Amino acid sequence: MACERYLNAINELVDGTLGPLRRAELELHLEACEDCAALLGDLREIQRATDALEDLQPPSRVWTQIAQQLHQEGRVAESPRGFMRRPSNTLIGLAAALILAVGASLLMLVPRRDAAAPPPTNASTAPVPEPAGLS
Amino acid sequence: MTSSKGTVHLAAVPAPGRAEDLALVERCRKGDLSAFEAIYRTHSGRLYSVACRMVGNPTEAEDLLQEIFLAAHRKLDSFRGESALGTWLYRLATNLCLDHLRSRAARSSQLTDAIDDEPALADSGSRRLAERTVDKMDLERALAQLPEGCRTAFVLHDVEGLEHREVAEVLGIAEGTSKSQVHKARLRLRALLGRR
Repeated sequence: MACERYLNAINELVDGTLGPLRRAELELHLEACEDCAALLGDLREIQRATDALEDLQPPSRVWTQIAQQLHQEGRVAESPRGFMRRPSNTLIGLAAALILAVGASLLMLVPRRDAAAPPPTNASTAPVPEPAGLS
Repeated sequence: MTSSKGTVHLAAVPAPGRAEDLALVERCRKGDLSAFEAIYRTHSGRLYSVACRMVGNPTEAEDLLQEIFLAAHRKLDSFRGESALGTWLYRLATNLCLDHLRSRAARSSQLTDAIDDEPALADSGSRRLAERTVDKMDLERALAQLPEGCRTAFVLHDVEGLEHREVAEVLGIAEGTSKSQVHKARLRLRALLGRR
């Protein structure tokens, strides 16, 4: 068991706040006391692991809930992502106009049968030569 | 922890530029959800970690994180940019965590500094930690098992890097009490981790 008397000094050594005189006394003690040396080693390992702790990431549902709440309270101008929004009349009108414009353009591009049909060629009316070797 | 009304005044949090903070906040005030989402994405990890480690319960920490950001949105008008946005949020988060711990303690009528009654744990009587590497997950689990009073002091001092003077101010306790709570938390962690 570590010595009760040195517990505070060991913790302060870990903190880096132990004064030089008490530090010298503690170092002498650590050379002779295996339990206190083990305690110091363990506390330093805990300190190393603590320093290495990383930020935890919250589940994605937390943001969804925050966004929903802000939307319900009318504090934001847009619906949170993933919400089904009712489209505005302006949007519906724009979409309809776009569909009409695209449809009209396609009609313009599609060639009319009488105008686009190629003129008859002589080849189409020329007699078909008989295959060689049949006569 | 005491029932005093200590609040967090100090936190060294690196943050993006102040002008960028103010621009984002201004967009939030105008109802721009994407601006608030950008703030959330930047700061939620750190604030969730603080909440999780202070209250020792991920589910409660999720609720707290939600409460923190909703409170932040409501208080955006009071953000003047005197401190970095991260610092402002951190202060708000820590104060809400402390309020949560106080109300939880009041509900359960438990003494949050019950560790004072624990026997000295200077002898872990188990495997030496220095001879192996303490796993982060093991440390997180052990942290969650600490009594509330010493866990809060440990998180603020050893994890968040506040000075004992600052921990004492935040928790409304004496500086010596902060030291003793942190020391006891370390010994208890040693015992908990030594069993693994």
